[in-house]
Amino acid sequence: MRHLVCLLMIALLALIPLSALAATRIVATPGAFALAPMTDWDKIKNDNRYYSQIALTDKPANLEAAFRDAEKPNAIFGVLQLGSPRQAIHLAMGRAESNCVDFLYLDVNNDKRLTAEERVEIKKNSPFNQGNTEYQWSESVKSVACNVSYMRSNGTLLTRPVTVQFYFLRKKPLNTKTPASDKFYYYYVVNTWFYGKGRFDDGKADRDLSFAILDGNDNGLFNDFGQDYMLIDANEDSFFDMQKEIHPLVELDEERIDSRTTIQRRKLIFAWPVTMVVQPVVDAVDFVSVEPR
Amino acid sequence: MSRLVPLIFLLLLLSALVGVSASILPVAGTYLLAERTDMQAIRFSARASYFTIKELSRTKPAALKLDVPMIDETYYYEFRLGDAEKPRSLVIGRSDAKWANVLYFDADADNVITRDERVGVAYKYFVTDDGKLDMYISEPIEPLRVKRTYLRADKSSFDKALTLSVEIVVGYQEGAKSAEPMFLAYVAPSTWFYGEVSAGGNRVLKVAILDANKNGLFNEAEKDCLLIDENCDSVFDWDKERQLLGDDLSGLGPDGKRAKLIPAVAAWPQKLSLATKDATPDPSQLEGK
Repeated sequence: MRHLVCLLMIALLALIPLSALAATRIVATPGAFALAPMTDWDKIKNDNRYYSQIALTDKPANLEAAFRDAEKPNAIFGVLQLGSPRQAIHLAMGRAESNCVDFLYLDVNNDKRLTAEERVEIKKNSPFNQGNTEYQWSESVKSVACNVSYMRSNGTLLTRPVTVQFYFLRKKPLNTKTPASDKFYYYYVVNTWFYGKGRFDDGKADRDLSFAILDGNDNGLFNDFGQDYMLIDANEDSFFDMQKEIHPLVELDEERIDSRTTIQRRKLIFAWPVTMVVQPVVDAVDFVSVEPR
Repeated sequence: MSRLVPLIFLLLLLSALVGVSASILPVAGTYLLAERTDMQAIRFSARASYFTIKELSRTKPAALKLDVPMIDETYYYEFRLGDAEKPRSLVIGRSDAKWANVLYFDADADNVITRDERVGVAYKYFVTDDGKLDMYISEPIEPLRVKRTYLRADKSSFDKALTLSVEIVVGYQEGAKSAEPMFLAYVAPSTWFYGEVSAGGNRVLKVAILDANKNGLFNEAEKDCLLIDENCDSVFDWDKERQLLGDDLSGLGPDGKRAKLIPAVAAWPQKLSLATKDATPDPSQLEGK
């Protein structure tokens, strides 16, 4: 019995450092860190983002659209809902010459007109089979920049380009000839992200590390705490690994100083960020200080 | 010595258990709240735990008049934001699409649906259970706004606009007896209130107040909810971080002593009071001007 009690005690004591370790996470230390918009995904490894479905609508009455003849009868309409307040950026897409989506117009300047210049080049990829389903898919050749507005504290709008990539999928059951059983999926993902260099505490020491902020919910806002992501290049290999170096973007970080003292810090980030301010949570919050002019 | 070992073990075990079970108790006080409508900040393991889900009816409410063009396939949903409020109707239709693409909302609750009450709808998600059940989910492009009247403690009244989240699900079931799809609506207020409360020691906790019984009032004991982001992940977890208003908050206070606080807000909250039983404020102190 005494041996059992001793064993249990050792196990319990062993749990204490483990739990302390689990509570430690890499946290930003106080300061103001400049951020730069990026669209190049070469720095990001193991991209495993979830793509968002494009919201489809009837043709808006106030939308002008200039399609090619073959595209007119096949156009379906949709919106990307980006920015703050949320803006409906219209698009039209469809199948004119192939089985999967092969044309797309995006109202990149957000003027409620789809023009010939706003036609997005689509690449048709080789179909593949899986089980009893054929998958046909296409994608935009490159990401497309569209104008998105963000409201500052004083009510004025800041307009900035947000790049978006499109993917289209058609699931075609092989055991039926009924076109109605085909399923179409229309996806997009926000490709703009922000790069910065900051000082982080990893539980052992303060380190100057590169970090990235990603739009986790594809709404064009980069300060959705709990929804967006922060990647911290902890192994300093100049890449951000979406499997190993990803953290949810949280507003309040806690840094454990010792077993009795925990310091809480707040991040201040604008929806289109140019700087990330990290400050003690008790300090007065000045959102204007992080807004681009 | 041999008798001391089990005693030490017991003490360690007890301290570990106390550490695990004691939730962080905020500091008593009155804290400001701000209105928010971004439901993404609240995590639901199942949306049914917050949203009212109702199968839509093809029977038009008797008192409802339609002053709009005919829709191919029309469904109706009538709801009230509280017993004293007038019923409001959603008229939902499907025309040449697999999803609900027509929506009218009787925003002024006059029981007449007019052309200017048409709301733009976007088809947002497709969910499938390997073809056995295909669900096409659409929602208004802009959130619906509902004006509601609130009473102050001195019986004066004021109006506020609640936002309403509406999702319309059109479901097609393989082998269903009826060729007609299943029409469901998920409806709930998307207005909620956000604040930060002190947790002592230069720490804060994020809190949220939700109208859990969906009548537009946020202060009902045992019905509405207070959520505390205890794990500081910037998301309120409906399943793990929720408690009913009216229930005591208990835990270890910043001074290390176990204590109880009673949360209280007004019907349209501007402030959150966390006070001990003998210091509960007058409700009028929590109202906005």
